[in-house]
Parts: sequence; structure tokens; C-alpha cells
Amino acid sequence: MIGLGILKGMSVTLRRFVDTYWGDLRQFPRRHAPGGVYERMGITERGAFTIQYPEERVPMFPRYRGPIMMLTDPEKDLTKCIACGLCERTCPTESIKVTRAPEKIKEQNVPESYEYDMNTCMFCGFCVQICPTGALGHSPILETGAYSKGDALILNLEQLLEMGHKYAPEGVWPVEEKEAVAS
Amino acid sequence: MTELKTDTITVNMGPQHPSTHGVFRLILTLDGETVIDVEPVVGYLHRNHEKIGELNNWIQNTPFTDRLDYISPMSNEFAYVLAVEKLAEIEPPERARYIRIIMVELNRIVNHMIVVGFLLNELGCFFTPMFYCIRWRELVMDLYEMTAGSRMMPNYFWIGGVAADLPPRFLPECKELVAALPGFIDELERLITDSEIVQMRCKNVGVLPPDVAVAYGCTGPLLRASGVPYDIRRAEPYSIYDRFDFDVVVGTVGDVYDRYLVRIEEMRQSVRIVEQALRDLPEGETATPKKRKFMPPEGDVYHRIEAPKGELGFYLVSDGSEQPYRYKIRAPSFVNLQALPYMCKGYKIADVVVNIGSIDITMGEVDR
Amino acid sequence: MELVQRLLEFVDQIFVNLSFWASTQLANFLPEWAVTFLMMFATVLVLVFFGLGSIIWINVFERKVIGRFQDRYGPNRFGPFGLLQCVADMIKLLTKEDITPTKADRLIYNLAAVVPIIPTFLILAVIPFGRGMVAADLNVGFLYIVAVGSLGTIGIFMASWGSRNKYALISGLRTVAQMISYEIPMVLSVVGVLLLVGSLSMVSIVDAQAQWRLPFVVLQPLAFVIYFTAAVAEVNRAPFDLPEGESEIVAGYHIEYSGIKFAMFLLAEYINAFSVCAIAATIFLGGWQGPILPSWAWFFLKTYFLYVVLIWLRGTLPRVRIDQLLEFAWKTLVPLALANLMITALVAKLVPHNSLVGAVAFLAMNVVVIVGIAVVKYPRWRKERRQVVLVPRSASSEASGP
Repeated sequence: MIGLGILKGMSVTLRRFVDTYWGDLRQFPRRHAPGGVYERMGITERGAFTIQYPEERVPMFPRYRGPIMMLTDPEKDLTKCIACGLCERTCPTESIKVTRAPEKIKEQNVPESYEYDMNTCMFCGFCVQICPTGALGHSPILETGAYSKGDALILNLEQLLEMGHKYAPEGVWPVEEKEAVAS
Repeated sequence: MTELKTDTITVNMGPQHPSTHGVFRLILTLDGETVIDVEPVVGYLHRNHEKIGELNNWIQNTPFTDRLDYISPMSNEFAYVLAVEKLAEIEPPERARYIRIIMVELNRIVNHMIVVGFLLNELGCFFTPMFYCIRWRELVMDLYEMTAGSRMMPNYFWIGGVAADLPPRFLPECKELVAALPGFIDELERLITDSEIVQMRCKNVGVLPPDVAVAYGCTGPLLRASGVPYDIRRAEPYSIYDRFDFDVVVGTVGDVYDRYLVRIEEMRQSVRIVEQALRDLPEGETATPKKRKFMPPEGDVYHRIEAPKGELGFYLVSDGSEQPYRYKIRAPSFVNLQALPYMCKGYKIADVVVNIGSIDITMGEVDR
Repeated sequence: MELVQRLLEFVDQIFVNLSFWASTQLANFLPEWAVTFLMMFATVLVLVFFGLGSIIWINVFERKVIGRFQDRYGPNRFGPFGLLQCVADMIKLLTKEDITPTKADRLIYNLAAVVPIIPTFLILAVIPFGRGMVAADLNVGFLYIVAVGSLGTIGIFMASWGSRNKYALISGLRTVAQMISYEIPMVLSVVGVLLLVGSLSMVSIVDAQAQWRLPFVVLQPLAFVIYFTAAVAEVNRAPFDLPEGESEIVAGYHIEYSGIKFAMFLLAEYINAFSVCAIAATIFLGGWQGPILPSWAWFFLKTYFLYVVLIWLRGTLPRVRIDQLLEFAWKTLVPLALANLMITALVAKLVPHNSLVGAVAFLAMNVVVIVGIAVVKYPRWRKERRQVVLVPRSASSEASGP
């Protein structure tokens, strides 16, 4: 009525405006320190919600579904993959191609070649769920940019094993209880 | 006195437009500022979803259903999984059922927030309510990422349960969020509901009488705002909705303002449901054991749920093999969109955009 | 104490002293008429550079403030706190390709890029920026502002007609209707103030506020609200920004412009908004008057405060439809402004000027009018409130539905 509703709406925005400055003051040293790892703002906190991306990175959750990595068994020091081909068959976009090596190593079938195409992968996680030995995991990689499509984004076995060593050295995915793995 | 012989002009609100909710084309015939005819042209986002569904396994189809209505992905998965479970007569465990309800109702809250935010964006409010709604949506997306691994295409529901149990961080955060949500909804209402400009723009605009709404086959908040108290969760309760206590929100006049009020109130009812589900969450396993090859018996099934946008239905025909024989989706946005020309005739251009915003369409669903 | 006062006065009059010194230096070796001519030319240059220079940061100011209203930071990457963002924008706009539609009417299309900016600079000539700092002290100051300010309309209409685009045409027609409708309440609301002052000159309006010892916003709050609303509509800013209604007719009248011509429209809009805030600060808030700080600092503080209120309105309110807009102007604002004018004239005749009793009388009159309107509108508002109906889930489902 005669503008009172408009004033009520304007009071909401005014409160948010003042809260951003107040929130900045409260978090002052931590927020503007270079290279700080920032936690996502809590649910009931008020203030500016932005995370300044390259300087502040939010750690990914353990179950985050990024590009695939291959895990190694730490005792046997061999990849856990037995090249059964289930992941290839269950992938909805046919992004995985596996071939099995003719001889066994340490009485275990190993893959000869493993091609994973990040161009067509839709990160659904079926291959990880269906793997019978738990050889696949999701890496928390967020920045998958490359300068050209095609070969730069098709990963082979060595690259996948390297990612597995880096992000899951114990050979188990998801890396629960340790709360977060920064990418 | 002879009448002025005026001419009509045809304006194309093309596929690339800031307010048509995706790639959606409208051919408007105008006389000055008054709309005489509206002809929607859809199909710019057609992705062959139904044909791809016939080539996939039953199990492989779940990530594709996420991409139908990409703002509320859990509801789409829910409908598909319930349809397949009805066909194969599988009963998921109790804990899985409660988890599913929590996820789906959180999804409903998120969807309604996005709709209200975008409605105000189309009214002209330069993104401000939209940023607040997206901020609150981020909190729910964090919950999804914590549980399922991905924010927007969670791929969380299995045929026979859910993919993984809730992590230990989920419950305290979800309880805190549910306690804070009524405050957020109140703040949104304070910003919008009493504002005179919103009332001037939205009252008595795009009126849809209840008999016309039923004749067009509209469902969801569109129908309930027109005064018909039809909610599938009440009419044909599916999953465990008959154990929860909530109200069905019905409007009176059927204009844009009523649809907005209905959505705000539905958010509050969803918060009630989530509170009850969190309170009654039982222990137990979360999925029946998964088989490698899933081959349901022959037959067909049509199952529908109350998605945030309306009635989402899956019609599945199985011939006993690993792949569906026919996979048809009844998308609520597609059917609701047919009421658009009726709602727009005789109003001004500015009202066309507001009407589209209030029907709440997502082109992923309309074009599939 | 004495020293502090002398220092403050020096800072206050620094620009006036500078121009005086420059003119005496020039008078040493140039005849009289040349000195006058050069000083006028220099004043014009200073004004133009001030306008163009303030664009550098008024754009960033707006984006950062509106970001704060939306729980985010504005641009903060380019320069300290993002202050050089406008330089980046200008570089981008200058290097964009200048596309002219083939069927466009060339002369009008190209001219229309320049026309809206001219009146905005002309308005800056009569605004007093500080004590003794006004470019041209016309004794018809306010009439000049009204006359020149309405020239902006024709520039926008030329832009929309010359583009040969249906969206632009729709927007152009809307703009013309809007701008000519809102000039009337804008002028009428200020006439009440002019009655109290007795002169049209901007400098004497500020002096009159010194004599009353109160800014005119206290004496005429209703007029201030009407003037501010009408001015927001004149400069095409939200909630009245239909001409560039971003979500319906995608950028309206400047839809076919790219590159530097688009930059010209943007400049015109921002400087217009600034001028309108400056005029409101001069007429209603007391101009450059205020304690301790120098006068030009007070002027800018008041203007930017009103500009923040403009941005606040932009961030919170949705857009009004065209027929509702015109209805609002003709059926609400014009009668209110006329009523305000009549009652002001009556009260001004009855109470003594420049006294506290008069101020209280004016304030009371305004409050009575506002309360009267509220009382009259209340029952109808009460009747029109809308609620939704809640049907509990466990109630018997008699409606079977489709």
C-alpha cells in the first residue's frame, strides 16, 4: 500500500548490502591472505558468498566424480585391474577400451592397453561401481582443460596409474575419513 | 466514424533470448503492444532421448534421465526407478525409501526457488532474487555432492535402492539446513510478496480458469493455482508418501501471482516432509543386491509422480530382454506449454514473458 | 583554530582561486576579450573532462555496489579493487567491429549515436558544484535544465527509427511516451520549491536553503518523492527501464549499435543519472552546504548518496509495464504534484518565511496529505489481499482430477 511493500523489499536488500561489508570485516585476515584454502561458508552465515577462484580453492568432497584413475594394490605393487571388460561393456557412451595381456603377472591377468576417452565420458560412475576388484576410482581433478580436443584428452594406462598413485596412494577409493583431498 | 485500419506486425522472439528459459522460439503477432497470437516453436534441444533409451540397458538409462529436467534431476530418476521397480516387482529397503524421499523433496525446494528467482528476473529485477536463490541452492548442491558425487547429475538412485549410504557429515548438515530454510523462504517472501510493483505486474495476468486447465491437461502448480486440488501424492500415493503429513496448496484465481504464492507455500510443505523423514529415518541397508544382467519380465507399465513441474510419467514396455522395447516420457513442461497461447491472448508483450516464467518450463524436458 | 579555518577555506575555494590566478596570468599578455573567451573555453573543457572522467569510475562504482546488494563482489580483478575495469571496457568497445545494418537509414543511424550525449553535458553547466563554482549562473537555471533535458528524447527516437528493427521501434515508441509523460510531474513538483525561493536560478535556490537553515526536503518531502520518482523515469533506470527492457526486448533502442556508438549510449545514460542526482541534491538536499568538509566534497557526497539510492532501486524492484507506467504518471503523479503545488501556495501565503514556524507548518501539511491518502486507500487494499488455501493430505479426496 502506497509503497510500504516496496520499502519492505528494499530493507531486505539493504540488510544484505550491509552484511557483505560486515562479513568482510569479520574474516579480514583469513580472507585476503594469499593462497589460503577457504572453507565453504556455513549455512547460517551471512556475507558475500563468492569464493575467489584461483586464490581460494574449496577442497572437493571425497565422493566427487571426476575423471577416472586406476588404483594399484600396495602390497603386490601391481594394478588391481584384471582386464575383465565389465567397465567397457557397462559404459553408456563407450568411452573405455580394454585389451588383456596374453601372459599373467604374479598369477593375475593384467591389461595390455587401457584407453579412457575424456571427450565422451559423462562421469556417471558406472564403471567404478561395477568393477569387481575395485580397481577404478574417481580423481578429484577439476581443471581438465586442454589446448585441443582429441588426443590430449584420451588417457592411457600409464597416465591413469600415475593419477591413482597421486590421489589414492593406499589403493582404495573413496578416501573417506580423511575428509578432503585438495585438487 | 470509420475505424482506423491498423496493421499487425510479426515479431520473432527467437531461440536466443535472455528470457525464454532455454532455446525456445515464439512467433508473436502484435497490434501495437497487444498480443493477438502466439505460436511456440519447439525442438531446438531435441536430443533423441527416447531412441537412445531403447538402445541402452535398463540400468544404463538412469544417467540419461538426469538430463531431462536438469534443474530437478533427482525427481526424474525417481520416476524412472519407480516405474522399473513396479514392472519387475522389486521392493527397495526401508532406509533407501526414506533417503529417496529426502532427496526428492529437497529437489522440489530447489526447483521452486529457481523458478521464483527466474520469474523475478523476467519481471526485470536485475538478478537480485536469483542470486539469493542460487546461493541457497548451493547449500543443497553441497549435500548432493557429499552423497552422490556430483551436483547436478547425481545418478544416485539404483533399481532397488540408492547407490551409497549417507556419509556421516550429511545428517547434521541436513538438519541445520532444514532448520534454516524457513528463514530463507520468509526472506524471499518479504522481498517479493507485498511489493506493489510485483502485484501490479502479476495480479490478473495470465488467468487460466480451472476447466480450461483441466481440458489442456495441465498438472502441477499450474493446475493447483487455478483452484483444482489435484496432487498425485494425495490422489495415488506412491512410495511412502502416505506416511507423511503435509498439505496440498491450492490457489483461488489462477493468475501469475497465485502460481507464485502456491510455489512459496509448497516449499514450506516440502520442508515439513523432510523434517518428518529425517526424524523417522530407520537403519538398515540401502540397496538390494545388484545383478549384472537385469531383465524384467515382459509387460508394460505407466508410472507417474508429482515432479516439481507437474506430472512426470514413464511408459515402459519390456519384451523380456536387457533393453526396453519402448521408452516414453510424459513431460510436464511440454503439456503445460500448450496453455501458453490461451494465457497470452489480449495481453501485452511484457506479459508473455511473465507467463512463460510462471508456467515453469525447462527445455530439456520439452524437447527431450 | 584560526589556522585550521584558513586552511579549510583555502581547500574550499581552491578551484576558484586557480581560475582567478590563471586569468590574471593570461591578462598580462592578451587583450580583455581574448582572456574572457579563453576562460570560457577552459571552463567548458573542464566540464567535459569532468563528465568523461567520471565515467571511468562511475561504471565500476555501480557494478560493485550492485554486486554488494546481491551478496557478491563486483569486478575486482583489473586494477586495485577493480577500479580500472572501465578502462578495460573502453578498450574492448573501441576495438569492436562497427556493424551497420544494410537497410538502416545511415544519416539518422549515425547521428543518433551522438545526440543523446549533448544535452547531458549541457545540463552540467548550471549546477553549482561548490561555493562560487558554477559554470554559468543563468537566472533561468531550472527552466534551462528542463528545456535542454527534454532534447534527449529525440536522440533515442532517432536511434530506434534509424535501426530499422522491430524491437528497436517498439522500444522507441515506449521511450517517447514515457519521457514526455514524466516531465510534467518532474517540473510541477519543483515549482512548489520555486514558490518558496522566488527565483529560477540554481544558485539562489541553494542560498534560500541557507536562509531557511533547513534543506527543502524537510519542507517539501512529498515533492522530493515525486521529483525523484519522475527523474528515475526520465533517465530510463529501473524500475522504469522499459526502453532497454533487458528481458523482453533485449536491449531496446540500442540493439543494433556496437562498439564506440554503444559506448556513447552508455555514457549518456550514466551521466544523465549523475546529473539528475546532482539536481536533486541541489534543490532538495541543500547543494554544497555543510560543516567542516569543503563545499565541493559535500556536493559530491550528497550526489553519490542519491546515486546509491538509485542503484538500490535498480537492484530491488522489477520493471513496470508500459500502460501501468503511463497510468501511474498521469493518474497518480500529476494530481499529487498539482495538489502539492496548490497547498504549498496556500501555506506559503499564510506563514512567515525563513522561520521555524513556517517549516513546521509545511511539514505538518505534507504529513496530513500523506496520511489522508493512506487512510483513503486502506480498505480497498485490505480487501484485495490474497491467500492460498491449504488442503490437508489426509482429507478425503473428492476431486479425482484428470
